[in-house]
Amino acid sequence: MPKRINRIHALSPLLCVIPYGNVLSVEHAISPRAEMLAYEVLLARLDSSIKSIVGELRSSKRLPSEFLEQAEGMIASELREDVQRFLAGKSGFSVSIAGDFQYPAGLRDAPVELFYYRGDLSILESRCVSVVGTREPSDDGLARARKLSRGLVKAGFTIISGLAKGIDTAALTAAIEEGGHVVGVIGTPIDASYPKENTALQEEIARKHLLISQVPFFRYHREHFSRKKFYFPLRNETMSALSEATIIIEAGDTSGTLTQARAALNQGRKLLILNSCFENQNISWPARFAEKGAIRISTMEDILRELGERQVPEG
Amino acid sequence: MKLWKKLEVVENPPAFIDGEDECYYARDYIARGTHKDSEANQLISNFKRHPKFRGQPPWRYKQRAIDQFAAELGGIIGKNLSVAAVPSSKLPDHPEYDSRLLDTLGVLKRLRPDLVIETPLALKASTKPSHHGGSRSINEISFNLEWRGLSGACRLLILVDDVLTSGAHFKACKQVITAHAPDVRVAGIFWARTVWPEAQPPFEDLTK
Repeated sequence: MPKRINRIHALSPLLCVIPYGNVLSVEHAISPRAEMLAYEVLLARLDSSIKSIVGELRSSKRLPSEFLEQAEGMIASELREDVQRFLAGKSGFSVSIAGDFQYPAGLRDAPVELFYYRGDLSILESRCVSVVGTREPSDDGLARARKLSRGLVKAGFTIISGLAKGIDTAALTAAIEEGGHVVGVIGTPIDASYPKENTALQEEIARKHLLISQVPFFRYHREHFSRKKFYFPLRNETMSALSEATIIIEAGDTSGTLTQARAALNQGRKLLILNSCFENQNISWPARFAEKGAIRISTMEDILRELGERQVPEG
Repeated sequence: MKLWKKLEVVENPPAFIDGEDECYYARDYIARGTHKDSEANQLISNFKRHPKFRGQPPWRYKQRAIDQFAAELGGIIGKNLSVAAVPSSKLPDHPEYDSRLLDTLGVLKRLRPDLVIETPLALKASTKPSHHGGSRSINEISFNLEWRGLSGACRLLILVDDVLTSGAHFKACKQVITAHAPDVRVAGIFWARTVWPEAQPPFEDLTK
């Protein structure tokens, strides 16, 4: 009997999603809902960090359902039941899990083993660049974000950003206006949006492009309000991992954008910082990151050269 | 070995597929895809390459797609199971007859001699393929299918098709098979499921 399916079944009645009669049929097939439930149960304990749990799961080389079965006894059955109840009505999205046919290879560099998505996952097969920055940009910053985003689309790149207000919104909107592909990676569960004013943009991205969330529904729901912000830096690591380069348009010394700068360097991705950041006397991070390998860029030509593009598209 | 997925958490469940159906798929195929060069869309378009190209250079892409589909199926189907193809939309004497699914099962049988390849259904008359305006009515499709029987005892029959779109062909085949062999459980394995991003219902914002 196929071991993998048998193990999913072994979680019944907790994860009673595959009727017994279906157990014999296929090997190497997973139930996305069973894996989602198991993953959410594993991440449900607020006293353990997401990174450490995902790290353990990854090094075990097991599916979440298999891993959970091993952890039997360490996780209170009440918690499992709570998670199952909370997730019962969730639908309207798809699940991608490490090991499936379309799971993005780049995510092995970020603490994610399962994520939720809406839209066209194959967009991630194109060349992707993150364009990110502060939520409170200057007018020049906004203009630069839009210009670079449009230029990258013309050169055939997909724009990844975080759907925060400010630079993220400007970069995504300009790319869409230019007729390009975009990927929105959010720091809330996939059925929620933040900030509210981007709800329509998020919906457009989900319908016509690709929307991704790695945020577990249940844990997020249980998390104290003051701790929900910690999902945004995790989201930045994911964005960087999905991109061949991250471009920082504008950011302050305490900006969350710098999480992505660190992630890009740690993950071996290119980190491109606009010259205007270096010229800003009020901040010190550009020089710090340049020392660690970030590249200072002034023009679209600089960016395309760093991305290995020889010709700059006209217009 | 990559993981196939059971069809359950979907943005838009195919119109005719319900909770009683057991379907598996490997990839998302994007209908009217924004990103037409995706691996899934290329595999499917190569696999469906028109029979008029037979013997010409592009045909090798079709053959490669057939080999890949067979190899990937070989990794998912359990031991000693019975496998059948969803019938083509044309009879073998039709100039547009495409044997891609039967060819795939032929390669699969070489890779997995333990499997039993069945041909329980035959087409009565050639029709348009559904992706070219053919019928998507389950009854119309099933009226055009002839029961040929199963060669041996089988509890589970795996029906193979390339793309799961509305699910009408799968349901029609399942209907005819279970009408004649009520004890046989029918599962579908598809190389890709169609995803229609534009048609999704909007979410209500839960943070408001």
